[in-house]
Amino acid sequence: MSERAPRRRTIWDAAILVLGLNVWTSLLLVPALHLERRPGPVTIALMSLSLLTLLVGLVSRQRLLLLAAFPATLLLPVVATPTLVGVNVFSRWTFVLVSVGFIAYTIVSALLLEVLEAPAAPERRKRLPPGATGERWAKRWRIYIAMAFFSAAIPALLIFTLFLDRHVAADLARFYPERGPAAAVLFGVIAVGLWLGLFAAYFIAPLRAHVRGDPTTRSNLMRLRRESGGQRPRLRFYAWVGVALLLVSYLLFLR
Amino acid sequence: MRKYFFEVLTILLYGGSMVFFYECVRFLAKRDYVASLVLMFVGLAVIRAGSELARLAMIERQ
Repeated sequence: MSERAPRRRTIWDAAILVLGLNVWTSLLLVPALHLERRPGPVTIALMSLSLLTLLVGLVSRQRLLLLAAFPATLLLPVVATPTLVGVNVFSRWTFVLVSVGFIAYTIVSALLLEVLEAPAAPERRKRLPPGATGERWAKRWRIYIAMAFFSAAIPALLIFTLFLDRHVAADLARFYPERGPAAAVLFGVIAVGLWLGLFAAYFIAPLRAHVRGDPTTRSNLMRLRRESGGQRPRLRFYAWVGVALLLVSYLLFLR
Repeated sequence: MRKYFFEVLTILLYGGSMVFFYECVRFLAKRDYVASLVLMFVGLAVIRAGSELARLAMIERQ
């Protein structure tokens, strides 16, 4: 490893720290300072806990602390004081800024941790000729980029709708006059739980299979190819079209 | 050529099922529960038909 490596590592650590502090400040500190009623000691303790998690994670360079525990502890003060997030504190633009800051923190931390944990570079290396990786690999990258985009966009949309949409806030205030912010937080927790379930089922599971060469999908494709025979739709296609037509006819009959 | 044909048909069927689901929600808002239920099943049937064609398109791609 070169002599400049320790200095580079310090710069990378500083980059993760700055991005983490940016998320912490914009999501917790600034709203806490702008609240009409100052947050209680429990909220302040929880805010300190999330900061401590970031620092410990950075010193120990633990992926679990930096990428899972720190984002999770960011939510604890919000649960203790729901008014930290809401239409009165966050505007649409500040939400976009916080989201971009959080996504930048996640991506940069994941990439830098990967680089920091990578084995030392070999003394000699041979570059592959251009185009050697092929269309298949390019397709893989397109899938990964699309998955990364959706895994950032879907939770952002859920959170935006729950906490920043004025119509939703008005409905919550109407249905839960005493506990509007608490109801929003409860729905937020349900939405995050739903998203985590969807993420595990439809993002992590296929990605893991993909990384391992996806033997199940390949065998399924081979079976489908065998079953398709003359490459015509299977009988069930016609059955589903028939069901749809029948139901539409029934609906027209009812009118 | 067959690949594009199946892909276009799949997109059309998936798009069509979205229209049925949209209508389902509209009927639900009008409290016409029977119509919305029927439309929901129509949407599901169209999605299933679309996924059958998607399989064929995928086989053609391979």
